[in-house]
Amino acid sequence: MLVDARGLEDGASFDADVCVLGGGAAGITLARDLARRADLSVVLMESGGFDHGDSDTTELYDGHIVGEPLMGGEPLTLTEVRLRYLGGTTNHWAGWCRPFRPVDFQVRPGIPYSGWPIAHDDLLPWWEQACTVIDIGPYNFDWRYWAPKINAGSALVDNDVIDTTVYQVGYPRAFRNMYGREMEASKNLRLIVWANVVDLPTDPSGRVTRADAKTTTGKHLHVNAKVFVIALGGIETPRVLLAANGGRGVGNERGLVGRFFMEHLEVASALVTSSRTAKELNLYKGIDWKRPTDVPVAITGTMGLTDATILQRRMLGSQMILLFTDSLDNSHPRQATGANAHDVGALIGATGGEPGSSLTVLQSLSEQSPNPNSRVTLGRDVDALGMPRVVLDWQWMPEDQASIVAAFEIMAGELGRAGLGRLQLGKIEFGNKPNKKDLLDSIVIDPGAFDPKKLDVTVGYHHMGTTRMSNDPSLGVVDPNCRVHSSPNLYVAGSAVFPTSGAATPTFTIVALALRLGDHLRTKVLV
Amino acid sequence: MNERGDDVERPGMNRRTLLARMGSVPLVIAAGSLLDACGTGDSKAEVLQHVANVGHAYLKEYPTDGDVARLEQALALPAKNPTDHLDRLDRLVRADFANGRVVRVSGWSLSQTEARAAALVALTRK
Repeated sequence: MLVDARGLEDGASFDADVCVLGGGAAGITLARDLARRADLSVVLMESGGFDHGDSDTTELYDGHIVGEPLMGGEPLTLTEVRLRYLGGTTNHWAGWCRPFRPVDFQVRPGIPYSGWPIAHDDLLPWWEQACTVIDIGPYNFDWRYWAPKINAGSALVDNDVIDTTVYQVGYPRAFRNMYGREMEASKNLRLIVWANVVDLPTDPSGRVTRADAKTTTGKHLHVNAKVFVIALGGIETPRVLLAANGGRGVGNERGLVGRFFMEHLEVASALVTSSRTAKELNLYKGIDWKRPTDVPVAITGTMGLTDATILQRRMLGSQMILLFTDSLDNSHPRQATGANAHDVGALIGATGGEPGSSLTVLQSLSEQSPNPNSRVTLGRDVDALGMPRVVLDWQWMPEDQASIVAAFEIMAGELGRAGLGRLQLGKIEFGNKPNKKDLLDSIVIDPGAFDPKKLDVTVGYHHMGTTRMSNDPSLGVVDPNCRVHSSPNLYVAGSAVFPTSGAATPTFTIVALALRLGDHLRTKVLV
Repeated sequence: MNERGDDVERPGMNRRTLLARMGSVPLVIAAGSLLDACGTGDSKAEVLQHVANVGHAYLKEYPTDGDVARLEQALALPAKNPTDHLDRLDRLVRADFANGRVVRVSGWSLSQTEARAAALVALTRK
């Protein structure tokens, strides 16, 4: 059932078993799961409507960035990195799906605050179900399984140091398109759009008694429920928790809400000239909907540090994406001085190896170390609904950048050791790209300007960690079932609960965790 | 060809054909003083220029290696036939990477051996 909050009488009230706040990947997955698989009444409250572009609603996301900038090509604002309408950030999600590695869940020597209270294999049943929700292929991310199906060549590097796995990339997977109509038609689920949560009052036991919401048109509404789930993303979730309960906050007894904000650090600062032809590297080609598959997904390989490498060398996770690949002969990146890709490609052949045949831009997508000083807090100014605006102070640790550079160097070593190519680090400027065919010709690489302590970092729009999961209330906001430690009926869904970020894109795991929470609520809480 | 290089097979640049294009360039690398004995094909000159470019870049960053005799001694490459040299060089280069004997030249991670070989060419090429 669809409810437009703007058309309600002021002060309207709803009752439900479960109230889910936020209609993004986590919220929609959870609300659908509860409404379809149990005789539970569910309210899903969404700030926006079915389409982007309502400026009053988008403006509610505005806030302050005081730490490291969120870089795209240019610094991004908090209204650009999130989408406040049904489907949330799935509306600009590229659809890349891959599970985290086992090591991502482990307590790792040298990585403070690492470790999840659940293990990799604990999530397997829900990752498998997530494949169905997102509508990708079977739970298999082994390049050997997929390469023959897409007529791709073999992995470039796949050994004990660096391995190759694949991403399954669904067709554009905006959840509003996939599930909006289904939710409208559901008898158990009320989808309330244009409703913005502004408070979560609690009783003395910490139990949330209701969700108070407002519309941008001035209406108030309330939802009474047995269980409340906040699924508002890694920035808005702490904002609501910190502002809740009349400004006293919920779940923040230990001062942890909003801390440990993490993003993925994306660094495109390497060229690789390889003895493999561009065609032989097509496993890593990126999204190509024209490739033959028996399932409606694109497959693309990435190379990443193995669990053994991460543990033995005390590194953060990192995966390498071949951004653009072309034949070396056809590629002419500009480089003012020194040895260029053609020089090195020839040298390899002259010293007994296979000469360079292709050229590619290598981008790393890397984990950042959990850092309590990287955080979301509330500002003194408020939005149009009276909610304090967000202050995002994103911070990296020096070891975050050192680990990225080390990952590139390890890749360089593996390429050389196997006679597969050479890697160049440099500051890369991407010029005007009239079409991607000319991209390698349009880039300028300056090895001398490469500063390993000042990398050109762009972001993945992945906001994680601000209500992290832990068995210990002094180290995490939610418990292993995603329940806020200090509240008997308040849960968090989404990447805010990630204790560490891994080096895989988060949405696949967000969906899996939402399905896991749904199972928990159905079988353990609301029975 | 598309931007990701679908059909960018480059049949002329495998090892065998490169060798044919280079003539005895590998021997030159092994003993720079024999450079003049190698003939003067355009392809070979082109390859030598590329290699010399790496060598000059290396010497700029590692000027203490700018001595032919010292490089020849460091490379320790006996004058045998070019194919033998190639195989040996290839093994040495891979071993360098396996054992961390890597130098940074214009941002490139190169093996110590190949960088010195390039420097030898740069110093002896006329």
